[in-house]
Amino acid sequence: MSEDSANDGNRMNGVNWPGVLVGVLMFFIPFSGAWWRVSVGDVLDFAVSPFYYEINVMGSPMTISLLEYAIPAMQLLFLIGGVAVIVGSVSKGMWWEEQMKRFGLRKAVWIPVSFTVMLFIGALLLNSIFPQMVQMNEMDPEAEQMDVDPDLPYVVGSSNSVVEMDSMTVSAPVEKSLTGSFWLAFITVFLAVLAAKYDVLR
Amino acid sequence: MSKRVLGMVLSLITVLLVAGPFVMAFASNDWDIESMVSPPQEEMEDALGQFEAMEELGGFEPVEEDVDDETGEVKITFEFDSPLGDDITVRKFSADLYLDDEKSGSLELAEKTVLSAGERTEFDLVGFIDTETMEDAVVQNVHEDEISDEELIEMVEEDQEDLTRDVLDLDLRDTLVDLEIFGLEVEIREFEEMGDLDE
Repeated sequence: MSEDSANDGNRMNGVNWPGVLVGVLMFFIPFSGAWWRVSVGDVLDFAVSPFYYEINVMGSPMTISLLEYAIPAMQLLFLIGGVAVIVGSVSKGMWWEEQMKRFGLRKAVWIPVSFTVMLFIGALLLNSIFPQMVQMNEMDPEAEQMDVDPDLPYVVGSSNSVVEMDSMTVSAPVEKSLTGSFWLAFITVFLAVLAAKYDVLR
Repeated sequence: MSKRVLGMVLSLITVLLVAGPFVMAFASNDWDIESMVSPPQEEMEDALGQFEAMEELGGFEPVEEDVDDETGEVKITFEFDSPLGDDITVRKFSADLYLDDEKSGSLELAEKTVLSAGERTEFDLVGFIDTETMEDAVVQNVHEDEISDEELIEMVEEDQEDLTRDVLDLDLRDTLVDLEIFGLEVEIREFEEMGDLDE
C-alpha cells in the first residue's frame, strides 16, 4: 500500500503541470470566439481569430470559402495539440514524451504568435495603403474629390475617420480591440514556454 | 511504434490540417483563387443592395400641409417609406424657402425623428412663410405677365392659401441635414438650390 502511494507520488512528481494546463487551455481556446475585432460604425463588423471569423457588412453576414475550411482544421489541429501536450506531460520517461510535448507546445506557441504577426502586418499595410489610395484618388481629375482623414488606430483603439465629399461630411467611428480570448491565448503561450523549460528548471 | 514513425505521423497531421483546407477550398471553387478568398456573389449583392437603397433614398411624400394665413406658420407632414435594413435617425433638418430668388420663409424638423427600417414613418417640418413677400411676388409675376389676370382672379377667388402659392412649390436653399445611419454621422450642407419640397 505504502509502495503504491510512493509510486503515485513519484508519478505525480514527474508530471509537467504547466504542460497539462496548456493542454487543458488548448481545448477551450478554439471555441472562445474572436481575438480581434474591428468595427466601422454599423457598416462593417469584422471579428477574427485563428479559429473564428465573422464579417458583417451593413448587417449582411459574409462568408469566405477558404476560412470555412481552414478554421475547423485549425480547431482540430489545436485540439490534437492539446491531447499531445497532456499525453506528453504525464508520460515522464516514456519514449514518446518529448515528441508529443514538442508537437503540442509548438502549436500552442506558433498559432497565436503567427496570428499576431499577421495582424500587425495587416494593420501596417492597411494603415499605409489606405492613405495612398486616397492620395491617388486626389490625383485623378475624373474621380469624385474626397477629403479623407482616415485617422485609423493600428491594432487597438478608437478613432473617428472623416470623409468629406462636396457638400457631404461622413464621420465614421472606427474601433479596434483585442478580446479576452486573445490574452488567454497569450497566457497559454507563456505557459507553453514555461512547460518547455519546466523539466530543466525543476 | 518507433519515435521515427510517431514523428512522421505528427508531421503528417500538421501538413494535412494546414495544407488540406487550402486544397479543398481551391478545388471547391473551381481552382479560382479570387472566389476562394472573397465572399460569394449573392452575399456581396445583399450588402451592395443596402448601398443601392441608400442611393435611391428620396421617397419622401408630403401627406398634409397646414399653412396659417394670418401668422404664416407652416406645418408639413411627410411620409417616408424606408427601403433600408437599418434605422435612420434624422437629428436636424433646416432649410430656407425661396420664391423667385426672394427668401420667403424657413423650415426645420419639428423633432428628432427615427425613420424605422423597412417601415413607413411620418414626420413634421415646421416653420414659417412670409405671406407678404409671396403676395408681392405674385403681383410682380402678374406685371411680368407670368400669371394671367384670369388666373389671378381665380386664385383670389379660391382662397388666400392659393394666393400664397403652394408652399411645396417653394425652392429649398441653405439646407442642412444631420443624420445618423449605419452608425455613421452624416452631415449634408447644400447652399445651392435643391429644388422644391415636392421633388
